[in-house]
Amino acid sequence: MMAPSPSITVRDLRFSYGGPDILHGLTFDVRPGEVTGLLGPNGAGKSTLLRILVGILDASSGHVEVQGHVLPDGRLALKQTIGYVPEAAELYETLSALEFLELCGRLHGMDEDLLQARIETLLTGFGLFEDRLLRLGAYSKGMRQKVLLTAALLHDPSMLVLDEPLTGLDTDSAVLVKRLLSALAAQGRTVLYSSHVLDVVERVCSRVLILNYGRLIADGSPEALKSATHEATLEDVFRQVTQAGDVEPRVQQMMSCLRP
Amino acid sequence: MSIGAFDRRQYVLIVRLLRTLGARRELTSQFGMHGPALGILAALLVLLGGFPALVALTGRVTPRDVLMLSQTMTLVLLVPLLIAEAADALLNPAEAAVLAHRPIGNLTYVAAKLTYLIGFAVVVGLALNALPALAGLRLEGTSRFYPLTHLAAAALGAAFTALATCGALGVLFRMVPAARVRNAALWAQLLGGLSLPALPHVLNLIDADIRFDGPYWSALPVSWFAALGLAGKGGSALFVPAFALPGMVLSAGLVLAGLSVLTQGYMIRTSTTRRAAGTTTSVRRSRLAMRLLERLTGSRAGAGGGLFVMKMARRDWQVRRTLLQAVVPLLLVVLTARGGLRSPFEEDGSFATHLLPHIFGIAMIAAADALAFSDHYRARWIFLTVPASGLRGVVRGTLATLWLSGAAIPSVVVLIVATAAWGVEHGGLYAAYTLAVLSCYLGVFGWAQRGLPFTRQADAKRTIGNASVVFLCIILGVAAAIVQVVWLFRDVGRVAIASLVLGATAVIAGRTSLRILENKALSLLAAFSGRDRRTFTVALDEAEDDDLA
Repeated sequence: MMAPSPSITVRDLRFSYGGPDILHGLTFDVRPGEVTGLLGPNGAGKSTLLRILVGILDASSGHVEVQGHVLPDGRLALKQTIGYVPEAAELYETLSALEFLELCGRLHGMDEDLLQARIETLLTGFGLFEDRLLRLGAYSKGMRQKVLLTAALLHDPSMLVLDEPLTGLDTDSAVLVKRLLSALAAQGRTVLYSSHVLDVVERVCSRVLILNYGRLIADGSPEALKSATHEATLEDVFRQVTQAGDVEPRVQQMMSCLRP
Repeated sequence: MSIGAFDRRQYVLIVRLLRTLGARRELTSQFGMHGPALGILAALLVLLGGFPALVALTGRVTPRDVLMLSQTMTLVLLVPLLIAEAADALLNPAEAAVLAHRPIGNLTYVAAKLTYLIGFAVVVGLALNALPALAGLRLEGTSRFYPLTHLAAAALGAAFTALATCGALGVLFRMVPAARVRNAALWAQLLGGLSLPALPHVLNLIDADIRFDGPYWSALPVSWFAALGLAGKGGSALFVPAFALPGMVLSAGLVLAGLSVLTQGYMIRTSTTRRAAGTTTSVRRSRLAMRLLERLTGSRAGAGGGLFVMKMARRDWQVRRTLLQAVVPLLLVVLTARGGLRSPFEEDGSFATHLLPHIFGIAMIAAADALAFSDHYRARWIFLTVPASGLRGVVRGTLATLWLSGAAIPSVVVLIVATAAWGVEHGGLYAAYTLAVLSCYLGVFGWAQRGLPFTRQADAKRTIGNASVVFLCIILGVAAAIVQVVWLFRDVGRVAIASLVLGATAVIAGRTSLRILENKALSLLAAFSGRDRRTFTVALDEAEDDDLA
C-alpha cells in the first residue's frame, strides 16, 4: 500500500527573530494518521517551529507546506483546518469558558447548533460543563488548559498542533488526552505533539523528532531510536543525542551554595 | 503576502468582542467605548471645550476663528490620546496570542480595530466641540444649523485624525522592528509636542512672514474640516484648492501606505512583539546603584527593591510613556523661556527658571503615580512570597529610587549648569533650593502611590487621575513660582532659609509618607491574592443577528 502524502512538508526551514537564526535549515515530513512527538531541550526552537507550522510566524527562508497549503500565502486557509494549543495558556480573563468557546467556534464559521452541541460534549468530557459560566480568570491552570484543548478540537480540525498540552492537567485528564490523541490519529488526523514528558511521548507517539539548538538531530520511531542508540528508554536516547552531561556534578555544585 | 479577504461575520464578532472586553474592563489600558474611563474623559473634554466657547461668546471673533481654534484644539489633544490608544489597541501581544491562530484575515482584524479607534476619536471630538458648537450660535453670520455643521466637521476631523494616526503607526511598522513600534510612536509624540513651541523660534530664524489669513493654511487638514463646518457660510475661503489638494493627496498617501502595512502580516508582527530584543544593564552601573540605594534605605532589601524599580521603570512601556509625557512640559518650559534661562536672583530673571524646579517635581510625581501600573503586572505574585521586611524594603527602595533619580540627579545637573552660568553662589543656592523643592514634592505626595510598583494592570482611568494630580501640582507650582519671583528670590538669605525649611519639611513628610506606604503594602497584597469568581449568565452577544443572516 502506498504511504499517504505528507500533511507537513518542511524543506531547509530557517528562522530568526531578527538576530541569529533560531532554526537552521530544518527538513522533515509528517504524515497523517500518526502522532509525531517534537522533543528538544529548552530553547531548542520547538515552540517557534510549531508557530511557523500553524501560520503565526513566517519562516525567514525555506519551503513550508501544511495540509496542502504553502505558507505563508496559504495561512488563512490553513488556520481553518488546524487546532492549536499554544505553549502559554493565554485567554480573555473576563470571558466565561462558554463565551470563549462560542467565539472560537464562530470565528471558524461553525453552525450554531453544532457548536453548542460540541461545546457541551467536549466540556462534559473534560468535566468543565458545570463551570462553563465561570470567568476564565477564576480557572485553575489545568482548567484553562482543558478550555484550550476544547477550543482546539471544537471545529473538528484535520490536524492538531499541541505545545505542552498536558501542562497542569491532573492524572485522569492527562490519560484522557493521551487516549484522545491516539484516537484522533487513528482516524487519519495529523497530530504534532511537543512535550518534555518523555515517557508520555514514548507511549503516545509513533514517531519522534528531536531538535537541539534549532537543528533536527534525530528522527524516527521511539523503538528505532532506542535501538540505534542502544538505550533502554526515550529519556536516555534524548540525553545521549542532545549530549546532556551528567547531572550529578551540577547537583553537587548547586547544593554547595546552600546551607548543609 | 496575503492580507485575507474582509469577512463581515468575523468583523462583527471581533467588534463585539472588543466591546464586551472593554465593558468588563479587561482592556483597562484602553479607554474603551463602554467603560467609565471614556465617560470621565468626555466630561473633562466638554469642560475644556469651554475655552473656545468663551472665545465665541465674546462676540469679537468670526465663526472661522472659532472653528479653526476648535479644530486645532481637537487635533492637538486627540493625537497624543490616539497614539497611546492606537499603540495599545493595535499592538496587543496578549491578544495576538489568543487570536493569531484563528482564521482571521488581517484586513478583518485591522478593520475591527479601526472601528474602535475611529469611534473613540469621534467621541473625543464631539465632547471637545459640544460647547463651542452651541456658543457659535451667538456669532454673527451663523445659521441655526451651525451646531450641526460644527459637530459634523468635528466628528469628521476626529475620524480623519484617527485614520492618519493609524497610518503613521503603519508607516512606523515598516520602518522599525515591531517590538519597538510603541516606543517609536512615543518618541514621535514627544518630538511632535516639542515642535509646536519650537516653531515660532524657527520661523523667526528664517524670517518667515506668517499671516493667519494666508491661503497656505488650506494645506492643513484643520482648514478642510473648518471649511466643512462653515459650509454654505463662507467656508470656501478656508479651502483654496491649489493648497488643499496637495495636502489631501499627501494625507491620503500616508493613510493608505500605513493601512496597507497594517493589513499585511499584522498578526505576525504583533505576535513577534513578544520577542523583544533583550536589554541588559552594565553590572558595574548596577553595583554602584545598589551601593547608593543600600546607603539610602539602610537595608539590602531596600537596595534590591530600589534597583528593581529602577530597571523596570526603564523597560516598562506604561512607565516609560508616563515619564516621557511628563518630560514634555519640562522641555516646553525650557524651549519657550523668554530670553533664555536667566538667573532667578536677577531683577529680570525669567519665570521659566523659577518654574523649573516645580516642573521637575511634577514630572517626578507623575512618574511615582505611574509606577504601580505595568504591562507585567501578572508577575506581582513575587511580592506574595517575600517576608514583611522585604516588602518594607521594596517600599523604601521605591521612594529612594524616586528621590535619587527624580530629585538628586536633576539637582546635580542643575548645580553644574547653574554654577557655570550664574557663578558658584547663585548656582549653588539655586541647586540647593531645587533639591529641597523636589524632596518636598516627593515627601508630600509620595504616599499617594497607588500600589506596589508594577503590580496593577494599566488603567485608562489612571491617566485621568494622573492628569488631575499633575494639574493640582501645576497650580501649586505656579503659585510657588510667583512667590519666588515677587518675594523669595529678592534676597539670597531668604532662599537659603527657605531651602532649609523645605528640606526639613521634606524629611518629616517623607518619613510620614514612608510609614503610610509601608502600612498600606500588606493590604495592597491582600487585594491581589484573591480570585474573581464572577459568573456570567448572559453569553457574549449572539453572532446570528438578523443583519448577519
